[in-house]
Amino acid sequence: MSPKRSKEHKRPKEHESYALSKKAFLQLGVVVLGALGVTTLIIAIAGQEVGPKGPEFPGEFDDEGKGGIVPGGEMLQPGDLVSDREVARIVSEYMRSGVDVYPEPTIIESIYYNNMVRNGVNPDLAERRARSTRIANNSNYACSDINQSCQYDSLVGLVAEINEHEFKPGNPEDWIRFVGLRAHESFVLSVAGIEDDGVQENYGVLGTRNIYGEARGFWATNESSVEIDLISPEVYAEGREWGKVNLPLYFYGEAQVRDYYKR
Amino acid sequence: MRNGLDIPESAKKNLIEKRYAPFTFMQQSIDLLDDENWVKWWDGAVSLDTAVAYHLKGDRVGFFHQVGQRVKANSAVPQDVALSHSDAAALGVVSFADFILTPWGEEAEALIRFTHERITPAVILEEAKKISKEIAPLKSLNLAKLFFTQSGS
Repeated sequence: MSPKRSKEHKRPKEHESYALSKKAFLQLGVVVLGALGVTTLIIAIAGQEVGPKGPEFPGEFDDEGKGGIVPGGEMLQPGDLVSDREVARIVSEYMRSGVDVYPEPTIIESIYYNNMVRNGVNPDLAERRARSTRIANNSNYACSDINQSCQYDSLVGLVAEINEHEFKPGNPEDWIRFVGLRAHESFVLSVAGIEDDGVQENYGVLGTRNIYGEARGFWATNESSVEIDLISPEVYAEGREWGKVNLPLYFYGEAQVRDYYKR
Repeated sequence: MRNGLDIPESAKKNLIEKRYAPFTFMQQSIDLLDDENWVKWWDGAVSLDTAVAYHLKGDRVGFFHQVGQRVKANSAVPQDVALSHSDAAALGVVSFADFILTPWGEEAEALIRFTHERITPAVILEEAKKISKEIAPLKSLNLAKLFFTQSGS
């Protein structure tokens, strides 16, 4: 899922021409300078109301945060980073004791961190991403849809946002599903960096794919389609088009979950 | 297994069924990664570890290229057509799709063809069309549910 505040403005506009006469250019310059002056005045008056506020987003020391998207939700309180075995012990204890699923920082951050490090992400970066997890509700989310958890590039770098709809009371065994979702997300988070400037992928006889939005690993925010798309095929169900599914991303995300469930 | 959780067997079974009940296809496909014959055939080309390494680097084309190279290496006939890097990646895309989308218990027809015939760009395209038209839509219901049941990305 892409954040609802997309980076459409970064896309090249292919069919527009901006040729200006010298006179028009000068007139435009006057207008722009005037607008800048007014904007500066407004910013000065508005003070804290304008622009990203770094200190409010712990983790904003990561040079990957180029997207300019303000993270949604609220920061998850910091937990301990413990081993998978300890995560398993805590989860088992919660299920035995009938504890409902809740935003448990140690479980969430440890799953993200352990998998990212195991997948080769620099430990410092993995910790920053794990520590930047957001808990959102349907009024402060940054994912595409309500009731949706997602991961996206933001001012503080790549973050995971978990929607409160995942915390439903009355079924402690849902802890395992919850763990599985976090493990799946760990694969999405397991990239060394984010490419914001466009990427082209050449698949020869199958065509060329142009990525216009952010690209991270096997996932791209926006990419051109090709005639026969076996990487992100269109999905139809019950006669209705649902959208595209990125096969390698989902397949290996689930393969990562498989490791948790099988042992 | 690398990450396994120590959870009660009953709870594990229940949760696996719950998680995959709407899309048993995906569970079965993932199980293929552990199938002894396939493990040997792929020799790590589609393993989670390999995928993670390419995913980390952001090299999706590289991933599919090495998948294609593995398919070509498995051929039972001489492969005298030199595929370009991008066509080898295309071979990987088609092979990967065939591997995970072929219904459980059925033969992966594209992979069989690639093993027993000369692999040319035209053959790759032909198999891609076949999978796109005949195989992928059959799995769409499962995938749709996966897409909307999962957390997003």
